Amino acid sequence: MTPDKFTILTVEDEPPMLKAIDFKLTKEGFKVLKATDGEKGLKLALLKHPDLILLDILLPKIDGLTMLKKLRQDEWGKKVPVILLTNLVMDDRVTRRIVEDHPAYYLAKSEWRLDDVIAKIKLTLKI
Amino acid sequence: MPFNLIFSIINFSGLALCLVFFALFLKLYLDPKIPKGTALYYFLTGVMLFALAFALALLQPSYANNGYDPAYHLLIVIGLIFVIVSSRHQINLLGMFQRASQQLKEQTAALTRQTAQDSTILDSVGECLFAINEQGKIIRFNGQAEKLLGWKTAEVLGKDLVDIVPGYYDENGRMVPKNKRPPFIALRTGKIVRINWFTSRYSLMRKDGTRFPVSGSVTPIILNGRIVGAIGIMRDATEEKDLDKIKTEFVSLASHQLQTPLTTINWYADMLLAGDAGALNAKQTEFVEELHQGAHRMSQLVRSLLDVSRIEMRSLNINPEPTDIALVCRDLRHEMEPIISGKRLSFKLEQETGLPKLNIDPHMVRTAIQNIMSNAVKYTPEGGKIKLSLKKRPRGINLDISDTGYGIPREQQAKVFTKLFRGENILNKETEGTGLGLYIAKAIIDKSGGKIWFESEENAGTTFHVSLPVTHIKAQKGTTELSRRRGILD
Repeated sequence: MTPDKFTILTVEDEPPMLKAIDFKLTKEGFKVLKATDGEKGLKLALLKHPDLILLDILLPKIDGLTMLKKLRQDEWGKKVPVILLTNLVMDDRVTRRIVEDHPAYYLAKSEWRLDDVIAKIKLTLKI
Repeated sequence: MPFNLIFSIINFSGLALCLVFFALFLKLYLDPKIPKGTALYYFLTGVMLFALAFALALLQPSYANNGYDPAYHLLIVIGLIFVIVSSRHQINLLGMFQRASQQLKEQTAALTRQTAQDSTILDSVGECLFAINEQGKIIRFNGQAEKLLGWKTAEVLGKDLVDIVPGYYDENGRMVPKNKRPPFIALRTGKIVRINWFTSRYSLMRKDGTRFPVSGSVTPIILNGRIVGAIGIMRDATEEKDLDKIKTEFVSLASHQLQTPLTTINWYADMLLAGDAGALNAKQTEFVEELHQGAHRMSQLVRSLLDVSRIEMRSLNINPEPTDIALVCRDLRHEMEPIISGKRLSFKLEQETGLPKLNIDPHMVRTAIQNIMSNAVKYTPEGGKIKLSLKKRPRGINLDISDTGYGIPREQQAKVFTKLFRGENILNKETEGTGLGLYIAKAIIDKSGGKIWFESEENAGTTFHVSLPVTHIKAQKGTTELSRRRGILD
């Protein structure tokens, strides 16, 4: 399968980051949905059922982890692959919650180049 | 004849008695503690002269026959004079005694005053102060203790401290067992036990059942080499606890806020370099690479600073698990490959077979080894050699990293593990270092129960040794972890 068959939802509140991710994913051929807070992200996810969600943790309105929790309560949302992409330093509390809610990956933005993130997305979607 | 015999016996025993008296008083007389000219001195002289006079008299064979010898009469007279002289002094002696007794009274009064003053001083200490005897019963409880704990002194004196003031771990709310309580450790070991809320993290319960975080110390009271009790000072550490929370939140927020713009710079530089916005010419590529490297360095520095702040707040979590240290080293070697081959360094990794797994926090120890390895790579000039060897030891593993690098100047070697240390000889050769790597490495190795040391010669190279025990560390509950370097779920 080619990337153009896949839709990716990006939930990110930093405009320059969102722009960069959007640019890269579009260039790769993915269809991109964008949300700038957790509430919009959840609504969009449940409405459009994207193939993968790229999720930041620190977000306005509801944070990424709460959004993930709510997503996992939905029949469809239980199985959708989620890659957490954040700069938040993890402490115990965060780690426990992340593991409970089964994301596909947890990536620290500062350690990952955009190309590597794309590679992880392709790996998860088995492209 | 029998009459003569009786006289001889009286004579003989009298003489012996006189000589014994003489000797006894002479001994006293010669005692340097009795100064000449005192009443006792004159008195002794008199008594000795008497004893001598009687001895001389008894030695006279004519004594039995009422003989007369003026010599001993003269001695008796002189002796009498000395005794009279001494009695004159004795009047002074009486005076002296009276004065001494007066002095004693005054001293006792002063002592009583002093005791009362000391007691008031102790009671006025602005911190909660208590003392217990060797059985752990409360024998002192000051005003601040009353205020802090809500008990009145009269209610607690003679009671068991452990019953009056229970301690609880903040982490799980469980009661601190009696043998882990600082007053009892102090009584048992005879050593000062300091309680710092940041490390002990426990609270005490007041009379009304509320709790407060505590800092302070308990010191054993040692009298004639025996532990007779302990004295404790406690402080409400609520402020420390609040600060700790603020700091932890700040650290977490700062890491996010500082990293975000740096990541943005990195990502856009990446995109430019990848030609996403059209091909760059050679000069443009070079400039963007500089941008990229600068942002990357800054990002590393932010992470190191956060690690340092966590180490210094002692809020590090240690989560030990069986770890294959060789795997960690190979992984790190792989990660540094671009720089290693870029500088044409030879990097050998040697390991003995059958290395045991170590019960360490893999993430933290990885950070420590990474810091040492990256120093070796950074501070070894092009074409140099680096060797990492892992050896089995009876109780753990030794890890040695040697290089043929610039080395550390001898006069600076004592400061290597201090924060922000950078060797003078590399300041103009390598601008990337932050002076935090080895400080962090040592803090981690120490926390893991290991040791770190090194040998170095300038312009010849450096060898760092790390010894890590197979089992040592208990999980330590801090509030944060070192910043993650990779996705945890990879």
